[in-house]
Formats: sequence, structure tokens, C-alpha cells
Amino acid sequence: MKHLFYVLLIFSCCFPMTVDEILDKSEANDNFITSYSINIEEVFNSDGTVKVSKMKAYSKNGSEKTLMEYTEPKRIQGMKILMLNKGDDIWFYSNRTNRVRKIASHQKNQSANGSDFTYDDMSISDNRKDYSYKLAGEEKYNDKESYKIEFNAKSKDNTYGRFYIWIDKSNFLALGGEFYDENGMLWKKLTVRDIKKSGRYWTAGEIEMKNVQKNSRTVIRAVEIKFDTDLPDDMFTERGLKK
Amino acid sequence: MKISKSLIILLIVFSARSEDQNIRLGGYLESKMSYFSAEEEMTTANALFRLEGNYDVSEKGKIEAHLLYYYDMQPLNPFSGFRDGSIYDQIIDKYYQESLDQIYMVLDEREKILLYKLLEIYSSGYFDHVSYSTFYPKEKLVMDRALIKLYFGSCDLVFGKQQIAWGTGYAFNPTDIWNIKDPMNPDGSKIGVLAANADFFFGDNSSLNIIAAPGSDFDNMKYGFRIKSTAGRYEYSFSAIRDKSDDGAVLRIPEKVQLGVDFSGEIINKIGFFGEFALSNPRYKGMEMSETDSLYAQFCSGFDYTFKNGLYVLGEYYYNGLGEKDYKDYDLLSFTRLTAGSMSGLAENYISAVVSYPFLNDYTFTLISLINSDDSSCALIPELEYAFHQNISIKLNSNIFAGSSTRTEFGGLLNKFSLCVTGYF
Repeated sequence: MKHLFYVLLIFSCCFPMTVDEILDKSEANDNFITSYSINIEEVFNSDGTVKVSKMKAYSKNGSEKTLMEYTEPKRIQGMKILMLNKGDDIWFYSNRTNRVRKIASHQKNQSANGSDFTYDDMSISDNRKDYSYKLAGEEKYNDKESYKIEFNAKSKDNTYGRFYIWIDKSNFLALGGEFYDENGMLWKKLTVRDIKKSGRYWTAGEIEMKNVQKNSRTVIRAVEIKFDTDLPDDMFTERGLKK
Repeated sequence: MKISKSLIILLIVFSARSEDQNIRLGGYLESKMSYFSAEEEMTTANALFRLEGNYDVSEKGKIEAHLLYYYDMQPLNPFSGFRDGSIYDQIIDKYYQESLDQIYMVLDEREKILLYKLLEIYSSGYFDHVSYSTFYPKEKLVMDRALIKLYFGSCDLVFGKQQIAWGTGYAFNPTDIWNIKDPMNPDGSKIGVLAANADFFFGDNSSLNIIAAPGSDFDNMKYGFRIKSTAGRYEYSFSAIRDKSDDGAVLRIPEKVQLGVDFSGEIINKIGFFGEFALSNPRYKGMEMSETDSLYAQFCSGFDYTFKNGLYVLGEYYYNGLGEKDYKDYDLLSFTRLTAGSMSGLAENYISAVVSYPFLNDYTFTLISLINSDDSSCALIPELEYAFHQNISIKLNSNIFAGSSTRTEFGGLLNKFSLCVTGYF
């Protein structure tokens, strides 16, 4: 039996991981029960202006359900975004109008609150459904051994024509990405920084999305993060949005 | 002066309590100046201050109060937004003459002379100028929201003045009897309704909403329900409502029963698709509910789409069963129904189109067009919004009307140019 274990181990080491196995392991990093964070979002526009927003984010079942609430600036204070089914369904709530509105699919590729992230970027959407994907290679990314995964849009409706994600070989966390428009031009660059272990879970302290076409960038920084706190289910419903 | 004092006291009270984390305060100040292009050029200026207070009592309930304070620096005579000889002028003149004829019949000679002199002063425009000082109210304090929310297991109860919004249409909402929709200002805020409102939730996306809005007596009361659910990527609802109000009684709008359906979802290529249908049965005096002579339908349906470059387009069609196909049939009743919100236009068929495009980080250009396809008149509302700061926006917009000034709905309105600055706190 012991011999069989070693044989299997050697056998598995000889065969490279498949792209699905890499993505499965990467997604498994999001296996927390709940998470709560306070985030600062800074949008650096090409004209030198900076816009700062503050938001609370609540997630459940490994980001299957996410609720974000803006607490600053005053103009959008109380505005909430609910993402269910890993971002397939997105609802928007404005406390000023007391109205819940479901965001249509055609709006998901639009900027979220004037940032360089789209609603699609902010949700953990299942890219394997909308894009074809393959392992494009193994290379160093920010001095870390990583897998480079290439995604190609299955339809013209997708936000990006093509994009690459680099995944750290040691912990399967995404280190960054490059996103191209439908004409094949580089559009955005994603950089993940300050990766650390918080309790049982790996987290990124800072995420930056740079729009190279607009020459703007958005940085989202987590200033407080907690895992596996008690979050009621009805928080992630239309009813919960109005509370 | 009394109003200003109350406002200051309220602010002080709220400020003193705002250290409590369960209390949230916010709001905005909006200052607007408008210029009306007419032979006698007119300008107006007003300011709106909105104070929003929320207090989370506990997980079981919440208190919410929004206070609105309007200050008209230069209020506008409500009847001076029309061109001379417009259909609105014609309707008002006709009604005025008919009323005058009736009054003259019961007056003696001396009273007739007195009335004639008074009317002469009024028509000389004297009051238009006095209006800038005392004739029209300059300031107004309104409690727009004042409500208590109670959360039970699968039910939420809301008592008090609250915002209620039904329907999925953009420029038109025939199923929404709670608000008077202005298709030329589709995003305008909705005024609070005093009501008792119960929401029963079943599943994640389905609910039953029961509402009763009291009037001066039990008879002048609106009540009904709305069931809402989802099917695939579609959201839909059914509603039934009995509508009778004190305002309606003043305007001689009869009691009505309305059945409604609305939906929103997507069709091919992720194009948004929405619509509303309302079937109404007004109960005129002497008629039974079962009679269908007065039955009328209103519906709207439209699509919207956002292109990858941010360009947003929307198109919507509105059928108004209460409207008229011929401008000659626009009368006082049509005007009253429009004012009371029973319909969103004088005619039968309307098309609305919206184009919106954000550019240069801080600017958004929007163009709303509204076409009355029966009398071939239209309203164009271009707007440029500039985000001067995260909490300050500047809007420059205009209402441009096209069509015969004497025979069409929109052609009879005065072109308007406005500058609006809003600061949030």
C-alpha cells in the first residue's frame, strides 16, 4: 500500500497539471464560508484627478453571493450592489429612489462607479463558461513561478476579446492579468499585491486595474478583512437590499 | 421664517445625535435657474434642500425621515409656461369663458363691473410681477418620507410616508398609480405616499406586496396588491388596485379599478426588453362596475442596450387609451387627466427615445426625445452633466419643443434652458 502511494505521487509529479485542475485549485482559494471587508477604492484619472470611494463588501459561500455597499462619497452613500450566482445576476439598489433594479447583461461590461473595473470584473463570473481557455505556458510573473492561462471570447458580446491570467504555482492565487479588446489591442492590466494569509485563507490586500487605453487606473485596497463571521442569508436578497 | 427656524432646529437635533453610529444623515442642496424663451422673456430660480435621516433601531426595525425644503427665489406663474394661443391656452380660455358666463348670470350690474375690473387687473400682468414678492408661496417645507419599518420573519411592514415605485417602463409607467410620471423627466424623484405597506417574501425572488393609502375618509382610499416573481432571466409582476383619492375627487377623477402586468428581461444579443400593461375601469357616477363602456387600456413596451463604448440607447412606445387622436379633441377633461396623472400625455400614441454617452471621465451627455405621433409634435431634452467633484454635479439642459404652436401638445410649450448645481453632503 505504501509503495502504491509513492508510485502514485511520482506518477502525478511526472504529469503536468491540466488547465482545469489549475483553475479548480485557484477557485478553491475562495472556499471561505463568509467574508467581510472594508475597502477603499481610488480612481486615478488621466487628467490627474483622484476619486476616492469607500465600501463594505460581504461574501458568502466562496463569493457565490456578494453584497457591496458604498459608504462614501456622500452622493452614492447607501448604494448597494448584490451579485448572485457568482455574478451572473446583479442587482443595484439606490436608497435615494428606494428602488431595486436588476442590471441587464449588456450593462455588465460597463464601468462600476466610474472605476476601471466593470461589473463583470467585480463579480467572480464563471469565465470558463463564456471563454475558451488553455494553458499558454509557465513563466515567471513578478519573480514568481506561475501558470499563464489564456482565455478567448466565445462571443462578441463578451467584455474582452482575449485575456491572460497568471496563477502562482505555489498557492494557486491569481497574480495578475492582461485584458485585450475585440480588436486585439491591450486594454487593461490587472496587478494583485500584498498577498498574505489571513487565518486559513489567502487574501490580496490590494488590487490594481490599469486601463492602458484611457491611461487611468483604479486601486482597491482592503483596510479590514474578516472571515467566517455570521452573515444571515436574507442579507443577499432583494429584501436585504432595502433593509 | 417659521419654516427656516424649524429646519435649523431639526438640523441641530440631528447633528447632535449623529455621533450615534445607528443614525445616518445625508442629503443634498440643489440650486436651479431657468430661462424661458418667449416674447416676454422669463427667468425663474429656485433651490431645494433635502435632509435624509435614517435610524436603525435594531435588526427588527428602522426609522426614516426625509425633509424637503423648497425656496422659490423667483416663482413662475403656473400658467405662463405656454405660448399664446397654444392648446393649453385654448382649453383654459374656453373653461374660463364658460365659468364666467355662469357667474355673470347670477351677478347684479354692480358686481359685474367689480368682477370686470378685477379681471382687468389680473390680465394686465400685475400679479405676475407681484408674484416675485408675495403672491405665490416662496418657501415650502415638505416631509417627503417619514416611515417606520418593521421586520418580521418573512414579512416587512412599512408605515408612513414612503416612496412607492411600480412598473418597469422608463418614460411611462401606466401600472404605477402611486406617482405622476413626467415623461420629459423620467428620472425625476418620486414624491412620498402616505400608506401602510406589507411585503411578504417567499423564496429569494418572489414577493406579495399589499398596500393601503388612506384618504380623508374610508371611501377616498387606494388599496391593492402586487405579486412579483422571476422566470429565467425575466422579472414580472401582476397587480390589482382600487384607486380613489381626495386629489382625484377635487379634480373630478372617478374611482377606478386597475389590473396591471409588467415585465423586464432580455431578448437576443442581451438586448433589454421591458413592458407594462394596465387595464382600467373607471366608475363614473350612475354606472355599475360591470359596465365596460368606460374600460380603457394603457401600455408601454421598449428595449435598451449599452454598447461596449458606453453608449446607451433606449426606445419605448406608449399607447394611451384615454388619449385623443385629433388635437381638436384635447379638452379640459384631457388636461385634468394629465394633471392628475391618469395618463402621461394628451394623445394616444407616443414614442420615446433616449441616448446617453459618458465621456472624458466626468461628463455625460443625454438626449431624451418624446414624440407625439398623433399630432406630430415633439420634445427634445438634451442634457450635459459634469461631475465637478465627487459630491457636486453641474447640469446644463434645455427643453426644446417642435410642432404647431396652436394645434399640438408640445408645440404650445415654451422652450426652456436650465442650469442646475447639486451638492451632496
